[in-house]
Order: sequence, then C-alpha cells, then structure tokens
Amino acid sequence: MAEPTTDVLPAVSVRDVTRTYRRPRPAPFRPAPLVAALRGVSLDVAPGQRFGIVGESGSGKSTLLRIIAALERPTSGTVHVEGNDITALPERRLRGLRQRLQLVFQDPMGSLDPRMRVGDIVAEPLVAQGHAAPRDRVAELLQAVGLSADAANRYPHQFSGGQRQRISIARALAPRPHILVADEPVSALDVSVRAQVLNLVADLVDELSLTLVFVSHDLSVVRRVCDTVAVMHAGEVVETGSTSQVYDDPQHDYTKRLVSSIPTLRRALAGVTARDLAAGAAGEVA
Amino acid sequence: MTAALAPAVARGWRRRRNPSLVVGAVLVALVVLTALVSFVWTPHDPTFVEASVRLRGPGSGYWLGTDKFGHDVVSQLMVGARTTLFVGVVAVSVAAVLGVPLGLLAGMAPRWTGELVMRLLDLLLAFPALLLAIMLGAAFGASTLTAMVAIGIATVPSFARITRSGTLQVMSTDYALAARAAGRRPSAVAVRHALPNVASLVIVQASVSFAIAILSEAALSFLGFGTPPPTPSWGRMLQESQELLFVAPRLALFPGIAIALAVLGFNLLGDGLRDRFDPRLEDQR
Repeated sequence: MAEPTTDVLPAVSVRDVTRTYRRPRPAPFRPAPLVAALRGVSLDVAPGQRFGIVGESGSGKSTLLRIIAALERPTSGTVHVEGNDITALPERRLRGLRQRLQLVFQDPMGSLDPRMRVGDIVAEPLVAQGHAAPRDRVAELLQAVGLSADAANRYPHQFSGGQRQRISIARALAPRPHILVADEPVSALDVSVRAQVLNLVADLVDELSLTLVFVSHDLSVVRRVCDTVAVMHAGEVVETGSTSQVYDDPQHDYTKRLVSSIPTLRRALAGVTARDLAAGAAGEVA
Repeated sequence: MTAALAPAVARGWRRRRNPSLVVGAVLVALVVLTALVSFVWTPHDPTFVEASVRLRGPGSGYWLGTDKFGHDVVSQLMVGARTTLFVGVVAVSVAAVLGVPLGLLAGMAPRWTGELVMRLLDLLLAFPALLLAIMLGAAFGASTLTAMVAIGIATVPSFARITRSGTLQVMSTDYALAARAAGRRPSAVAVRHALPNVASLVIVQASVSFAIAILSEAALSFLGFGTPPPTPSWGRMLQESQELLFVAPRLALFPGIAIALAVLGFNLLGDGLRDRFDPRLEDQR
C-alpha cells in the first residue's frame, strides 16, 4: 500500500473501502442480491483542507461519508481519522472520534429532534461526552452561527430552514471538532439562503482552522467552498485533484460530462439549452 | 365582548376546536368528579341493606330508586365510579410500565431480537384477556386488583407494539443518527429521543385502554370474577339486575348508561388527543 509521502498525518485517510448492501431475497431459497455502493474507494484529506466529494445521487458519496463518520461499517477496507483506525473500533470506543469529527446533515427538518429545545440540541454532543452545564457555551455557539442566544429556549419548528441548518452547524461545532463533515448541507435550502449558509460554513472553517469534508451533487456549490475535489461515479472515485484543475481540465469522461453540464450565463446566452447540456454537447462554448 | 378580547378568544377557540377532545374530557371529568364526591358525600350509605325499601322506584328519597337489597342506586353508582377509575388506572399502569420499556427495547435491539420479543407478545395477544383474568382470579382469588392486573398484562402487547413502531420510526430519522454522531449511547438515544417522541402515541393508547379496562371489569364482575360484594361496581350492578330485568329494567339501565358514558368519554378523549398530537397537524396550529 502506497502511503502518502507527506510528513503530516492525513486528517482522514480512506483505503480501499467497499460497501455492499443486501437486497431482500426475491424468493425464499434464492440468495439475496448484493448491491455495491462503494467499490474500492481510497482518498486522503490533509489537515486544513477543504475537500469536496461530488457525484450524482446513487454514486455512493453519502455512504462514504457515513463510513468516515463511523455511523456505518465498511464491508472491507479501512478508514483512519487523525491516524486512528476507526473501522476496527467498537461503538463504545468511538468517543474520541465523536469529539474530533462532527457532522452536518442534509435535511434541516429531520436532523433536529422536534421535541427538544434548541439549547438542548446544541448542547447534546457536550452532554453526551460528559461535559456539564454548557449554557454559556451554547449561547456562544448560537451567536457564532448568527442566531440570538434566546433561540436556545425555542423549538426547531419555530425556525426557518436556513436557521435550522445554522442550529445544526452550532451543534456540530459544540465539541470543538477538528474535522467537519457536511452531507449536502444546503441542497434542502432555498436558493436565496444557500449562499449565506455556505459563507457561514466557509468562514467558520477558516476561523476555527477546521478540516472540511463536503459532499454535494452540486458542482457550483463545491467549487465555491472547496479547494480539493474528488469526483465519484458508481461507487468509485474517478478523479481527484485541486478544484480549479478538475474544473478547468477534467481528465475522466464522466468528469468532463459533469463539468460541461454546469449551466452558466455565457452558455445560456450562446443558446445552449438544458437538453444540450444533458447530452454533453456543450462543447467548448465556455 | 370587547374588541380587544376578541382575537384572543378566537385563537383560544381555534386551538380548542376539537369536539371529541372536549366531549371526552367533559365525560371523563364527570366520572372523576363523581368518584371524588363519593368520598365525602353520598345520598345514602351505598352498602346498607334496608329491607323495607327494596325495589323502590325513582322518587324523592331515592332519586333512581333502590335495588333488591334496598341499596340506593345513586349512591352505588357514585361509589362504583371509584372502582371504575381504580380499575382503569391499575390496568393501564401495569400495561404501560411493562409495555413501553419492552417496546423501546424491541425497537432499539437488533432486528431479530426485536422480532422475537414481538412474536412472544403476539402469543400473549392471542390469549383472550378475559380468560387470563378468570385464570388469575381462580388462582389468586377474585378481586378487583387481580382482575385488573390480568387485564393490564393482556394489554401489554398493544403498548409494546405502538412503542416499538414509534421507536423504529424515530431510529430511522436523521436526528437519531445525529445523536449517535454526537456520542450518545443507545440507551440515551432511547430515553432522550425515542421516548419523548412516542409519548403522545402512548397517551392516546392509554386512554383507549382505559375504556377497554372499564368494559373488562364490568364483564368480569358480571361473570362473578371481578369486584366481590359488597364493594359497589357498575358491572356487578348489571349482574344483580339480570334476574329482575322484567320487574325493574331501570336497575340494568342506569349502570349500563354509566358504563357507556365512561367508555365513550375515554374513547373520545383518546381520539381527541390523537388529533391533537398528530405531528402532521403540528404546523397548522
């Protein structure tokens, strides 16, 4: 196995990870069909990097993310987070990981318990990890994500989608993680608040010098936030590189199609229609 | 009404515009109130046998008349309300205290363990509640408590089932996943997230089970396996009226009406609470 030659330990290191799911048996005595969500994925995220993972739905990007967060086990392969192999650890020994790596989920409605006050939601990682009386810290976190401290006494349904995603971010930052993992954090939001939330994430990552792993199907979003990007297709990473390199000079066929399908103003003015984009016929108009 | 008050009143009315909840709550409150009053006052001693006033019709001294022992029917109904409530509380408590943790466990445990627990509970569900009560009554002596513990045990599967389905739903949400990612242990996820979110389901189930328990006690007392004499019970009043059905049908009518109203009250309350707690309606309020 070729280890990365850099002298710093990668924040996240994924090696040959596969994950197959069993479908329900079609008939009692037939074997259950297997579906491969990940077919041997390897990637390294350096500390401080803003690492984007793009791919269409079903490409395995969310599965990969859950495996990195140890919410799911890979079928084979290993994941190291800051040098520790998390794939071998039993659930109860993941406390260190839970402190170092935190998640922001896609759905701002579903990822907050509707019967919990915002203050308790934000404090949850702290309480779960045995820290007491985090009231000041909760107020500080809410302010850091642009909410007022009195939001702590209200319930999630009293907030808009963008605000709920801010709450989610505050919760993720509570245990002072080194690594922030975001699973399509803006794709469920109105276009008008996407930019605000993206800027918030980018600012916080800078301010707290976090490592960011950012999953999205939306290339323009990844381009805005990330410096490095991995393109996933059908359970494999087909291309990795710096964002500008991948976008300006895509190597893999799939990446070329993906990049050429980004709608831009110039292409639209040149009369390229959505159908042309989908057919990958955009050519070199841009 | 002053103009300033109107919006507040309108809001309150909209919030409470749930007829089954209101009617159910009123009926249940009536039963509770009657039972409470019976502790301090009844028109006559409900268990005093007065041979001279047997089978008297409704009149000024005895509002609803007397039965074949000369018991005052009103006083018996009032004290019977206590038995009815006692019955419901015992049966529902037994069922909830056993059923809810079992359901939580079955919902959190690995799939096959959960299935195993549920299939065992199905076995219990298949066993008729009244038969179980008669069996326990035969073994430990007929009493209200034995009968109601039996009814409670027979109701455990409904509580476990509803708790489990709610728990499974909660465990599949992102907030349960987020709690795990935050470092919560499974037991903490059960208590902090699953339990509060299934509580409304359990409350609804409790009020419906309360009604069933009242009916079961009446049926058991009617069969002679429930509340033994002389404690007044609506079910036993029915049983004792049986042989006099053609002489004094009112003796069957009054306890029958009382049972029907109490059961209706708890059922309506359950329905009303369900509407009220339904999360899909949450944002419309």
